[in-house]
Amino acid sequence: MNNIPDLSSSFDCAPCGLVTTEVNGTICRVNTTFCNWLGFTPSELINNKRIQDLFTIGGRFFHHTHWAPLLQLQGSVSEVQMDLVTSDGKTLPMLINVSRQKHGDSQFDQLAFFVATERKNYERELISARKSVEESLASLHTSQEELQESRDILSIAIRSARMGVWTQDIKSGEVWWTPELQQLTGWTDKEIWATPEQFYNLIHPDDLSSFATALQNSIDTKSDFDIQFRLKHSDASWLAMEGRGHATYSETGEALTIVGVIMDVSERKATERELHQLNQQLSIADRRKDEFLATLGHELRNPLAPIRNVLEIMRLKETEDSFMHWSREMIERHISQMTHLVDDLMEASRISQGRLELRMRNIDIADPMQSAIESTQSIMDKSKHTLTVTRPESPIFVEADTTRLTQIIANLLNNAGKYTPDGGDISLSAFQQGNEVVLSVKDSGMGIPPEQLTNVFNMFSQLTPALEHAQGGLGIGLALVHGLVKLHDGSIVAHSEGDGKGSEFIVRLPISRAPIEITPIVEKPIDLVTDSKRILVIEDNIDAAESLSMLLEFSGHSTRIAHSGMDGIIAAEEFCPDVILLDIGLPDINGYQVAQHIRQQTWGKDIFLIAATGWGQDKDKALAKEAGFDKHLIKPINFQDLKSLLQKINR
Amino acid sequence: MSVQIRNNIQVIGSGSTTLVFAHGFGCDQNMWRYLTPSFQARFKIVLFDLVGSGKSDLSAYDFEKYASLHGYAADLIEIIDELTDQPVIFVGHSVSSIIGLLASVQAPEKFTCQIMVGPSPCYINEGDYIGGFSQADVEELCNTIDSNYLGWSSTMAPTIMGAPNQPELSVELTNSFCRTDPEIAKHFARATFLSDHRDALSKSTTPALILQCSDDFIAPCTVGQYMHKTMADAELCIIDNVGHCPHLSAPDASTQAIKNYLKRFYE
Repeated sequence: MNNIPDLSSSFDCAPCGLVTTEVNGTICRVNTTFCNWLGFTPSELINNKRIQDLFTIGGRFFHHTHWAPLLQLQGSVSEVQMDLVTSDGKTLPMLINVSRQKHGDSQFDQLAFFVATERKNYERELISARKSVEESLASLHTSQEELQESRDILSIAIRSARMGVWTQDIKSGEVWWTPELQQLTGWTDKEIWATPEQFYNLIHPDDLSSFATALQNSIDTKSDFDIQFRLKHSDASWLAMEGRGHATYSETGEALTIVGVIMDVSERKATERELHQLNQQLSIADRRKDEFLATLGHELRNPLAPIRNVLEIMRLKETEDSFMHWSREMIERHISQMTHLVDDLMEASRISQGRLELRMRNIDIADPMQSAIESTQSIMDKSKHTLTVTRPESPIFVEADTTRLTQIIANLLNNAGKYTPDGGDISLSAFQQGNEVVLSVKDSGMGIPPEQLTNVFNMFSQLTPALEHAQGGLGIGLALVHGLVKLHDGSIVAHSEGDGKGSEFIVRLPISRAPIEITPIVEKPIDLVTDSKRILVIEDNIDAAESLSMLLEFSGHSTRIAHSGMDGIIAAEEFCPDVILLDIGLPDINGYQVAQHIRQQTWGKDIFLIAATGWGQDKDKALAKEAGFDKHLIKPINFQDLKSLLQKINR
Repeated sequence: MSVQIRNNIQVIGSGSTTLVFAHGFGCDQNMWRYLTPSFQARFKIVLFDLVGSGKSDLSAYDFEKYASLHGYAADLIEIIDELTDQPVIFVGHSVSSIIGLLASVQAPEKFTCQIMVGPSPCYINEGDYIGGFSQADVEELCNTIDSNYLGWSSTMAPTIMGAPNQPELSVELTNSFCRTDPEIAKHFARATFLSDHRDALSKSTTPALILQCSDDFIAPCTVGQYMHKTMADAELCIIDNVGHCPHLSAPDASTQAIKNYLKRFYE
């Protein structure tokens, strides 16, 4: 017991600061430990300071708002942490316990102080750690919300586009489907698609191998795949799908996963199918229209032949009757126009059916120009137009069918003549520009409204104007020109300043590359022997046969008629003709068979056989030659052509 | 939500006149326990906790609404409406005296008079005005609140030292007294100590008693004098007391001062 320090020593040297104050905070006792910590002498504190004077301002606030009411109401304050200000102005964090005790009539507060620097640091760290965790959590939460929002938007977009995403882990083979793909296909059970085998099971068997191949190819070549395939919906229907995507690879180049987007293209496919069907229907309708026009032309042309023949007969038997003369000439003019129209119609429809063949030769552009000018001379004269022609200074050669090129220019001139009021100015010019020859036909006529410029070359484009202008027409002429120019690899455009300001048509044709030596066409001298020939006409159209036959008789030939193939053969044997004009389309056997038969007969070997066909194609001509025909004429037969042909035959 | 639950309203005593007590920053309605016994025989007494303090409904704490004292003033008017259709005597401590001031400007017909215990319309010094503090001091208070957050959450246990004289009190107090969510406490501290409601002083026509402690660190005498000078109908009564809570440390003097003042209205 001797060694135990006395109480005052225990108080002074206690391992904590001990302070006794009055209720208002005035310090009335303080131990050495406290004085040492704060750097004050006991006399500086006792009766000179209140405990709250040693607090920081924040601490004094707290003392007022919390500490004092607590002591007052509870009688104690425990483990309050406060910063105390030392004598040299530094702050010292302290942990304080206080209890209010009665001593006689007075009340005192007993305070115990512990230095809490470390504890305060720990707590600060704890608080700051907590704050940083809270901030991280908040930021994570925000990121998650933003991510979710982006996902939601993406999901809406994917759903609206009827798309879905799938991935496959190449190593494990496991397949994942996004909810969008599940919704799209109606499959929601993972077991349906979790392995490649299961996934492939949903692909249409016919599409499976191309799907697998495309996927493997994409992995091997590190390229995107783009596959069309059908995927089974949960309702057992097939969805037309388009799949795109690619694989991802490790740093060593090993394929890791396949990421693919699948799009439902069923609607697009249906639309495509519908379009295709519509297109087919349209082309069938278009083909029927072409066939109809071709047939119409053919049917219209047949009756023209006998009419022309009869007119020819009337001309040969010309009377003094001026009325008859006037009538014949008028009918002749109109028949000629009609023949022209029907010919154009047939040729235009042949072009659209791809049945017109050209006989291409290297020709000087000046030749067809001249022919066209000559053939339209009468129209120009009649309408009192002034035609100005500008020919190229030196020959320009083009690869062309002379007849067709003439037709192009003549049609354009005709057209100009037709749509220009009497006494107009029309010009035709040709010149070289680069690798092309430019042919221009210009008039001072009624012009073309701007909206019509592009479709003047379509057949029937002038249907409306036909009602407005007496000179109108079906627009076949320009359609034919357009078709013919295209067949020559050329182009044609129409220019016009508008109504009443004239038009210009410009045709451009490629110039032939190798200049070709001009081989003058040596015309065989026409044998002008007009000896009478025996001619058998085999033709089922009675009017055509009789009118032609009559014409031939007028020309000094003797004729015989047969209306069928078999009758023709019999007539040929009996009549022993020099020439047989043989129609191909006969009611019993066709003209080729008739010709073959006749050629096989001893009496038939030397007869000059002329084929008359409606379709003047090379194929028909080849067939005719093969069957033993000497010559081929296109129906309806132009009598002048026939006449000159007959003159050349010399047997 | 019912105002009763939101503000943990307690009604004691009886009388035709209603006396409403509002506690200050840091504590709750228990602050008034030394005063209420002297009034409950004559008045109907309404006690409540500001939202965010005591046993109020913490879920009703709206950081936007309570960023200014006007949010609390609106609550006070709702509380008065809930309990009486007669004008009340309002007793507010510290920040609550300013909350009452704002409510009296907004609805003067609801107040007979206002008793302001340790009030300050502005704590921060500004120009000639001496509130007593700087903004940095308020931030330091917030740091102290932060430091004592961990302590407060576990400490109020009475077992260490107890309160030998009033054991029952300490048990009760461990649950709520001075305990609050530190985030709310800091928010409330800033709303309180950074506010400036000097302009409301001249707008309030409600008669006022200013109870000023002779030595109050938080509300210095200069502030009491400034208020007395500025308000239309104010009496200044200085209680000899060190501290900011005369109703705790000088309950008798406080009670007497209030009773004296109320004579003007009820005798």
